Amino acid sequence: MTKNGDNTSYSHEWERKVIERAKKWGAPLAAMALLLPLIFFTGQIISHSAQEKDYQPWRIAVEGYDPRHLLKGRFIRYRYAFDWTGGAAAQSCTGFAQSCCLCLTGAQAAPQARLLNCDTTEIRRCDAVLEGIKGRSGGLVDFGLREYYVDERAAKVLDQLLRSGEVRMSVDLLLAPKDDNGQPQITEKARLGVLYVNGRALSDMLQDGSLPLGK
Amino acid sequence: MRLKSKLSKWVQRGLITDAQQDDILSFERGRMARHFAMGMQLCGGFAILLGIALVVAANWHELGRYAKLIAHLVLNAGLSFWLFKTGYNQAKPVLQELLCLALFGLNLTFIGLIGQVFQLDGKITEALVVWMIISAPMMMVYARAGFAAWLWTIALYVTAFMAFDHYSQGLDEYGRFMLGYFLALFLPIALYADHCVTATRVFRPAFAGAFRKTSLLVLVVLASVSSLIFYSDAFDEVLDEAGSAVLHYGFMLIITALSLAYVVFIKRYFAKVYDTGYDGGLLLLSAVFMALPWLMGVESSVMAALHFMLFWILIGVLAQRHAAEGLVTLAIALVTIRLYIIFLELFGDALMDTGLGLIIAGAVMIAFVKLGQNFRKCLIAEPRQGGAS
Repeated sequence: MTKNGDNTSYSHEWERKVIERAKKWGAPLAAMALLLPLIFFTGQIISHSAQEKDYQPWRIAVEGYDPRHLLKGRFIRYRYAFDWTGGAAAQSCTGFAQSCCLCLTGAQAAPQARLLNCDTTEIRRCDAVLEGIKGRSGGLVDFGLREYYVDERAAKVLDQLLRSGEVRMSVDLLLAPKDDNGQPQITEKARLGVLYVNGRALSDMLQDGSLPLGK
Repeated sequence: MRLKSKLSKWVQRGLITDAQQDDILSFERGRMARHFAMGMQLCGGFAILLGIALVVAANWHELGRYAKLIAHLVLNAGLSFWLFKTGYNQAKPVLQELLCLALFGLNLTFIGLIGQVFQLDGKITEALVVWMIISAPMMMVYARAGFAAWLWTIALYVTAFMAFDHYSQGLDEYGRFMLGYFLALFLPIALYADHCVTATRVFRPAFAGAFRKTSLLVLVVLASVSSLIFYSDAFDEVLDEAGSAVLHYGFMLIITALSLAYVVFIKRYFAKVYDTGYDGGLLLLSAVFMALPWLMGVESSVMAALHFMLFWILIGVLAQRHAAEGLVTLAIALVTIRLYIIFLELFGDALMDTGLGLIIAGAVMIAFVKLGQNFRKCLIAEPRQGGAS
């Protein structure tokens, strides 16, 4: 057992050393404890903003799993209605729980999609690539990003419009652009951009009042 | 009973003098006046915060995304600076705790705001893990009060459970069982070890207390609940998922041996500065009784009852040795209740059909309670020397 000046008992010498060192560096350590979250949040804001600027928007149509329950709370939950090259049935990604890639080509406002193994050379012919995970049982490929936060007041109105079935929705998927050599970069985590309702940005509709808001 | 009438009775009995009564009353009046003033200030502060929150909420959708983010960042930075100034000289402990808890909460809301603004589609578990990581140093440095320590410790357990559930999705069923069992055993023991470290025990006694109590509570509850496994075919299912009895028994024996070795290590390592005799006994008992249902592989209500009662009888013996009267009482009460449940399991169906059956059940219940009370009196009549905190 070791003791220091203020008579605190320590089980081992290293404990006393650590405490004394911590006391010596007390003020900087106390400041760091508070700065850590601030640095983290600032970094997050900067990195997300930079990614938003760098990434290219690819507009993808979306549809509900069940039109009656498209909206849950303040989030619109949907699945992507990709325009598959050769039809949805022609898409495959071999292997068990293997990473599959979504290959987008054509116009960014109406891209064509293919499902490819991420390590094939065909990937080089894509304009943008998003990595997903194939279901274990060989089911759907999961690309994440299946919900969109909407304005609370618009939620009720949107819910009614969606139920009526007269609304077409699409969303911008923000994906990494081609690199300097003209090769597509595989985006591991895509970002969501603008949500469109009948071709118009939801934020614009809320601003000009074309989407009547609830209270 | 009000303090004044209590004190009058004590004066009448000669326990305290008139002068002492006056001193106590004068002290309590002064304290209450300070409490009232503090309460009013807190109410005022709360009203201001509520007002700000309402103004922000009413204009939430009019605010630009960066306006929201920067406002939150400025709020966090301002409170952090205030906490730094307040916390470092320890002059205003209540304000320090309030600022610390406010920042703890605001860190979580900031994570939510970033997810909302940038449409990150994040999972609640990921948010909780990040929250705990970035907030832990601040809580350790600035939080001193018991409620802050308990809040943080409970948040840690909840986050650990959710993180396990989320991040173990990729494992097969037996992998999840193994990882879950390992964490359920080692997280509380590790927190208990942390409570023994001088830095925690001497400089953050509130955290040390919360770590110790939650660790013991979690493990004792888990060991008690483990007896329910004897009622189901959970053992067979786990054995099927393991695919090999050797793998399962090997894993269970290794993990139990490691946990016992860890507890013995803690006992020895901190022996010079902290007596872990009582706590160590509880930890060892819990680790063993958690493992038994997964090693015995018996589906039997008798074994379930024996497991539970033996566990609590041993806890009672341990508590008796260390003069922990409260735990002795609890152990006796639980064993008595469990005995009564056995009686109901055996005869309950037949008894409940008739009025006579209910009378017998009621009489047996009273008999069990009396038996338990008498047993407790016998034990407490001759407490052994020793001590449990």
